[in-house]
Amino acid sequence: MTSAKQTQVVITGVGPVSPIGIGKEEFLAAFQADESTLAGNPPRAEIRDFDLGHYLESQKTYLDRCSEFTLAACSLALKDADLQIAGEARWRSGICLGTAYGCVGTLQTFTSLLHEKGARLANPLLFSHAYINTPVSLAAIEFDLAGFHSNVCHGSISGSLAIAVAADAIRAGRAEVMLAGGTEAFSQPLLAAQQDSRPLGEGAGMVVLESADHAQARGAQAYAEVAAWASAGGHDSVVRASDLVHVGTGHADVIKVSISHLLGDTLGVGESLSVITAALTMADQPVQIDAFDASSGALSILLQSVSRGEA
Amino acid sequence: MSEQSARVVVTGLGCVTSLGHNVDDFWRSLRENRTGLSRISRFDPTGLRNEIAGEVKEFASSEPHDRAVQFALATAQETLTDSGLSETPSEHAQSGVVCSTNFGGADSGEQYLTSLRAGMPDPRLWTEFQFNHASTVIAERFGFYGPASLLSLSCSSGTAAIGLAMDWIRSDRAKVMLAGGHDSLSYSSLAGLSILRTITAEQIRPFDKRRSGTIFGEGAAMLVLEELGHAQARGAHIYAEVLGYAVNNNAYHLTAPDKGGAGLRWALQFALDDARCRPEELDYINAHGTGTPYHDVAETLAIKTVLGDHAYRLPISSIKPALGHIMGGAGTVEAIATILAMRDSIVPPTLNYEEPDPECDLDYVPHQARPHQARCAVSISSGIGGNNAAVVLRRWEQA
Repeated sequence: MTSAKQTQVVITGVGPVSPIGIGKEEFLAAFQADESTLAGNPPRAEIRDFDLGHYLESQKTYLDRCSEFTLAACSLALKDADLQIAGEARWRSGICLGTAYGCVGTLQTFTSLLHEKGARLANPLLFSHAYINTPVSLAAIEFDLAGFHSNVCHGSISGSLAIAVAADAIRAGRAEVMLAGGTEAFSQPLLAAQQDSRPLGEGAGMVVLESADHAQARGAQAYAEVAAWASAGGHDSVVRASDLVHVGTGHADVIKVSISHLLGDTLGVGESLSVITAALTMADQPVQIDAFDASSGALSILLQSVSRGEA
Repeated sequence: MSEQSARVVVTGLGCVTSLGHNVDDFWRSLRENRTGLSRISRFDPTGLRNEIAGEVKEFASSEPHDRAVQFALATAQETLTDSGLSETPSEHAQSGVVCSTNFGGADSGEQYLTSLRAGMPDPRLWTEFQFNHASTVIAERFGFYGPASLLSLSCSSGTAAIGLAMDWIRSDRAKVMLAGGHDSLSYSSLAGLSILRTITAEQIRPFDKRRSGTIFGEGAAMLVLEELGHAQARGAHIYAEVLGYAVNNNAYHLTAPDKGGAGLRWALQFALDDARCRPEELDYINAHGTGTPYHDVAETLAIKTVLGDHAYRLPISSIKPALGHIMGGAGTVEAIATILAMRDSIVPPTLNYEEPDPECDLDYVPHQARPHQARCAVSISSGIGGNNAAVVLRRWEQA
């Protein structure tokens, strides 16, 4: 799956928006302290008192909660990477987002009003903000990301698969810089459909990916390298995805990182927050080889430490 | 594309559209300049901007799934049968799926939200509404246990799906990929597209001076993409080679097109770069051609910017007046039309084109299919949110 000749893809910025903390410092402190915000029955980890104005300079008229989380996470990740996209670089800078449900809360509002008032009085603003790709489009517009663009809607692996697709886009020369990660927001339709006792969380997690050369040229420091990824389906998919990614890189010894015990199942965003957790762990405690296994949903991403100053 | 990248070929085609429930019927109707547009019959279209759509009539399926998923399943079966892979389940781990949709299981989504308003949410409807339901059901049904994904990039989704599948074969993550899109017409999505005035109140007329919007349709379309050596080893019939693709975003406005066509221009340029194809090597363009006032100008400008004078020397057509804009599957069904146009040396027409627009001054193949030799072609897609995608295809010359 990977070879030594491939372009190295590194993580140079992180933007966690989660119930246990928003922004790198808050998030790092909370997961190191093992702080869960899961509460209630069934258990839910909700982001409270969220104000997009803290993270974004432009004013917005209407946004779905899912779009708000996405924009905040992108803004935090870009600031953390000390990166602003401008000029012709916009065509080589892209975004790949993962979400299982997107703006289903706005879709509910749109259809309720449609049901009440009829098609001639349907609300165009709500409709345009109800698409599942609205958050990724808004982020591209807000941060001038006119390059490679994708929106992965593949259940619980959406966020991690988005990071995988983005890393591949850089390796294939389709982009130099990518924002990638996942987003999910609680809404009545989503919560009403989850009738079991499974703990659930919400949030967004974005990372800035760039080629090691690009990062080095601008003097950016990397948290970790995206070394490999693998995905598999079928009954033994988790085992096969892990095997594939380890065989692909020759690294058999891995440390698995997961924060689902703190956040519950965060659906499309979960594993992207775990990728951030793993990257921060490695940067905080450098080791020669470390790894991350986002095997929930049968997709593994292997992160590898990078020596400080190397990228 | 690196020197070592695998070559990717198309070995299976399948579709369900208002022009026909399989590729043969679809292609015959397209060549015969027919249209599948008609008055919507599945629900009361009163209040919509147009009561006409590319509705799939007389479609019967015993699958216990949402209509959009039924389209996808029927299409997957046809595509795999066409490729000769439906009876050879021996390499599942190296076979994957990329599906695309704009609205998921839209009927089920509407019914779920209705059940929620009534205070009795039905989780089964929620499951059928899931965007990745079709890709998951297809992967399980056919045992495709390699990498899988669902992309939703509005109306560029079907082209983006081909691109991701191609990348996964190029990077040796799979030998065989089923790729394509699906969507069904629903009252709520058409109401939204009506109020945005994306839908015309009259006739869909891409590139015509009097154009005033598009007409939507429904259905599904899929391709089997395969690594060349794998296809040759099993003696598969090869339709075409996928040379390259690109997908990007205007980064301009959520619903308004970039009138200058800059995003489309770069999507087309990057796709040609990826394909290592010079603009003058193109013999045909299957345009997105929605018939909306600004988009058709932007697309024309983008083509002229990238192709220069060559833009005036090749045919360009939009098949949307024939089957409607089938949303998540549009890019894929247009890739199928492009592949068959190259195979049969005949390009499909742009129906309803009558009055030239000085801002759209290329050869749009009005009214009638035209005999034309094409070796290399590109299919272009765009969508709400500012998405663009383009895929470059080459006719396969049998050795």
